[in-house]
Amino acid sequence: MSGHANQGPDVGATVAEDGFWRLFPLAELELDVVRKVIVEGREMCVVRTVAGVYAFGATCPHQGAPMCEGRIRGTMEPSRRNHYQFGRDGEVVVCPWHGYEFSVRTGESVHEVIRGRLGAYPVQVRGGDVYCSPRRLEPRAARQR
Amino acid sequence: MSFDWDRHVAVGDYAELLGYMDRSWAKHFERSEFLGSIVESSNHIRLSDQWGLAPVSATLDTETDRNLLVAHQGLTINGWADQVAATVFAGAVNSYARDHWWTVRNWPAIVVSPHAPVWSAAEVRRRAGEGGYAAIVMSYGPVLLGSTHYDPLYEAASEVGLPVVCHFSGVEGRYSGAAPLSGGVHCSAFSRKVLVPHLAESNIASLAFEGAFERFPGVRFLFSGVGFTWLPSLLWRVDREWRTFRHDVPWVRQPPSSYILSQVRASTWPVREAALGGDWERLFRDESYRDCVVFGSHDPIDGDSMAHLREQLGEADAAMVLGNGAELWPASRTVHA
Repeated sequence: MSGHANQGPDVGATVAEDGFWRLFPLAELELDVVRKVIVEGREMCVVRTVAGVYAFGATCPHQGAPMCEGRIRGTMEPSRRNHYQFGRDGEVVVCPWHGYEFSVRTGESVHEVIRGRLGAYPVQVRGGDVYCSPRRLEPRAARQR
Repeated sequence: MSFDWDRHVAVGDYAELLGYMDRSWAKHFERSEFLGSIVESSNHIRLSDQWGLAPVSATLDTETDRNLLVAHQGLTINGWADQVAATVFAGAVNSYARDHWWTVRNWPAIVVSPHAPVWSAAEVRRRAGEGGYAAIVMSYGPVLLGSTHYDPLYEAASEVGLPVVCHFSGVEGRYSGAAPLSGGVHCSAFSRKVLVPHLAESNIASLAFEGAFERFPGVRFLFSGVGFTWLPSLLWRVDREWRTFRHDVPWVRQPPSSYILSQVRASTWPVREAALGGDWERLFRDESYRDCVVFGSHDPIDGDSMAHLREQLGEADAAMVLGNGAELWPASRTVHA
């Protein structure tokens, strides 16, 4: 129903005055396990990683894969040949269909391998609960969070 | 100006090379069992009825304004067992080319060995210093071109500003020292000939994913004699895999197709494949793809004429392809006297 957030039939949500919706207690959010929620009719993925708590769009811009089924990991930064430099641990979600990597922080394609991006949404932890807004962040704002 | 990047020339009698070798090496080579085996191997590796026992050279009087001369006998060193002797032989071929084939229109390529990159780098610097060579030519070895094995050669190529022409010798897939072909060993010369385009695709993918383009952004590669209609699908495939597996090759910082479009060219022979199913019009709509194709007649071995080129690509695109080779040709160079 409109104005309702859920990740399953047993979880309700309430909206705060600033437009953020309370989703669930942070303690219920297992590390690196992506949960799908619907807030004001918008599907998004919420995850807690070693890097923080993030909310991003539920559909891959490439061919529409369900991003909430994606794996959380880091990535390899540009480097010299055979000198791997792992970075961004917990900041990358991998598309379950084609392996494309997106930043969970900004929604952008990692190293711009494709032009499309996921939505990035404001998320906060208040009093031990996870809150999320369905208003999509502009890329610049997303990079700063 | 018009350019033919693939004209073949041959030494009429291998004994003519002996004078370009150190005396002791000449004594080693002049033995009949050695010269005889070289002649015999040329016969074994023939790729068509026109490549028989008698060495054949393309005419140096051409419609095209500039021609790259490829001494195909020198290419066969990729299958030689004695790679030290092979470098002596290639060096003699390069000297012979300088003295016998160079004209204002016709510049030879420096023959180098895929087995000896350090020697090859020294040879490139030495010949570039002499002037009059338009490219470096190398046949395929068992190590793919993206390997750091070739870095000394690419450093030299980058330094002297000459493109690296990759051209099969005919022993690929046949002699153990040369590059293998897909799947296994084929019995006939014609079945091997059918498969040589795989060598280009495989080595271009290697150059891209091993980061050679990134390490040597100034080096251009011309894949010659292996057709070109495979190029668009290769560009699509390398980008597709890179998008998914970029994290496995983080040294590939751009879409692989962007390196290939910038640093790789393919010659037209056999240009008639472009007409299959309207492939030229269908696959090469994109201007950046058409820019990658340069004319290579492959004369006198089943060669394509400029008339063939016009017939297959149309007048306007044939003119464009004939001119595309200009970007690879040395801008200015000390002319051999």
